Amino acid sequence: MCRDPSLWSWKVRMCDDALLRGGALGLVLLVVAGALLLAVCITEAAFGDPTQFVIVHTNNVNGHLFGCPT
Amino acid sequence: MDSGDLFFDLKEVKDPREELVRARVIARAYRRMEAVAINVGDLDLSQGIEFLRESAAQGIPLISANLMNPATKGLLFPAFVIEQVGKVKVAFFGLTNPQLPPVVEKAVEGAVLVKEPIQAAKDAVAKLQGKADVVVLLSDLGLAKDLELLKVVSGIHLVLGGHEGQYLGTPREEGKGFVFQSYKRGMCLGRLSLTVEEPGVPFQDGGRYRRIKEQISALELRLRTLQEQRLRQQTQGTERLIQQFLQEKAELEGELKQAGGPVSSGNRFLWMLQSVDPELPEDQEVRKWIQEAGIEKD
Repeated sequence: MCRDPSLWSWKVRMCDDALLRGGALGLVLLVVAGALLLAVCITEAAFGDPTQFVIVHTNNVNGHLFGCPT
Repeated sequence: MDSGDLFFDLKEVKDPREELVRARVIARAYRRMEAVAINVGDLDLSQGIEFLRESAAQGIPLISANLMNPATKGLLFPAFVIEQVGKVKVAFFGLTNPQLPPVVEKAVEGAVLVKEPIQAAKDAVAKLQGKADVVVLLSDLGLAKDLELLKVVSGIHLVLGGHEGQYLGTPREEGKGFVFQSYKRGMCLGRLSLTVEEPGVPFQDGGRYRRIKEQISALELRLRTLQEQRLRQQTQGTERLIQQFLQEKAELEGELKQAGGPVSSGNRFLWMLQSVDPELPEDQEVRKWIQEAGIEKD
């Protein structure tokens, strides 16, 4: 996910400026910028902010109070 | 989290009133620990259904997806609970063992119907579709049945099992899921550390690579001892053991190569069994409850 809108606007602005300045180079920059953006999005989607937590588990306690010698 | 058979033991027959007193203290302690879900095991029914109803009414999060009222065919307890952890929704659903011991059968005669677990699991997983990112089964079916269930029911990521109370230091893998057990009689706690990067996707065993390396080191140590022994005196037994360990080591090295390296991305877990050491500090409040109830600590 692209969570940072400023990233979008900065990339788009850069591409817009390039397009205004001139044809082919602008198009190449747009494609490069688009590819960069896509890469950022895919990377974020695949490896974005992992959630970490711990599950503490018991089974077969069978009425025993904890502290039974192992 | 508990997978069942929390409250009672059929092996050590005690005064039923005393058993209920102990069971109530345990229920209170789990509530104090803020247990998220407790599956109803077959032995939890050995004092009838009333104690469990009373506990549920007091806020003990009992669950079972296959424990039914025979008259209404409705579930006696919720099939599952869903816990929101950060951005991730984790569902815990429970399954009770349908093979009730005769004493338990007698205690709940006419009050309980245990539905066939595989169909109950399929129904529960279907209900959880779109509602949870991680699906955990709290099972009282036993290891063999849990592995069988993972073969035929898709959509279960992790099975925290029980029933026979095995010491499972290494989780068992079947299909896209894993089964864990945390021994018995409150001697151990299972600690399952989860890292979720891609909701809904199966997990990888993040401890496997390190575990294989440790097993290889342990084998190498034993091999060195045996080889030294062989230098002093060569026997058939020593030679056979050396060959056996060399073969095991080669197999493990193959597994290590296949594993490639430690898992560092995607959904992964680390599993650890932790002994409940008597040296650990006690919770003073629970200690007070035990003393007030007049029961001996074990």
